[in-house]
Amino acid sequence: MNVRVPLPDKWVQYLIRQPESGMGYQRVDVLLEDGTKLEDCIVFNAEQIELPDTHARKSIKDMTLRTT
Amino acid sequence: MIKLSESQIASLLAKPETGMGYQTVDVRYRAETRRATVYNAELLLWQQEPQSILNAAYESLVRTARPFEAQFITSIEVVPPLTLLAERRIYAHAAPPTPGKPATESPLQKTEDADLFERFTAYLNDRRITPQKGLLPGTYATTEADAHNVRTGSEAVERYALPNPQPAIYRYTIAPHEHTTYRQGVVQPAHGHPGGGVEVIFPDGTHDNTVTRLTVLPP
Repeated sequence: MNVRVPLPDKWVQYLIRQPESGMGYQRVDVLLEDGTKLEDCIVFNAEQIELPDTHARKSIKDMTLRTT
Repeated sequence: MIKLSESQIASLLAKPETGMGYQTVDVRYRAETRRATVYNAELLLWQQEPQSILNAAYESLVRTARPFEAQFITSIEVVPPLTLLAERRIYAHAAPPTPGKPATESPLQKTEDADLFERFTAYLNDRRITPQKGLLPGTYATTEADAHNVRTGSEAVERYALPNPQPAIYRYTIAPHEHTTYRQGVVQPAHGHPGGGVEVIFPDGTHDNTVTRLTVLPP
């Protein structure tokens, strides 16, 4: 089950400087603080990311916009 | 995928099927309304979940479905057949009559004087719109002509294959300056939606004061 998590302002500012993947959303790969890599996560309006509920409380260490 | 509670099962058994062995339903779940299919009145599969899940044996699906999530469902309404019929007509209309490339694979074009575009979003505070009322680089929209096919926020979700199931009820009108660069293509099927609408992307964004109007659609 995925849940939506508000992104810290650091990532919001990063995302609004990146192109969209479609109208109103971006696809990203994220690296979590515990080393978990999650591929092809969806971010809505550059401010809410959809994560598996098992990872929803973890901080994001790095984020990369998917280009394909 | 959710295993419904006994009371939810009883409620669905008292309602008509949509087709043999299933019901198409609108579910109030965690403060959202989402479309789903319920099989055998007990196994709920969200519209966005891959249908390939159903390839497993039914008993196995029921075992692996999450009964815990059922507590977050506050209502389940079977979608009336006439509503589904109307939606299927929209689908048929939305289905790409002429297959095309997505905008990102299409050539650059320049806007002409008086070209208008529309952007649908579920967010009133659309972050792609600058405080100066322009679009940020890399922002998507659709043409004014294509937007005429969309009367509700839910239709926008289908036609533009948006991953956010919340109805995109906010429609921003964009009037870019002449010679603004953009790419135009066709929305590919994705996220359980047919797509088929026209999509445009402004690689360099648009100038200030080009987002000219906000219209709120019904959900």
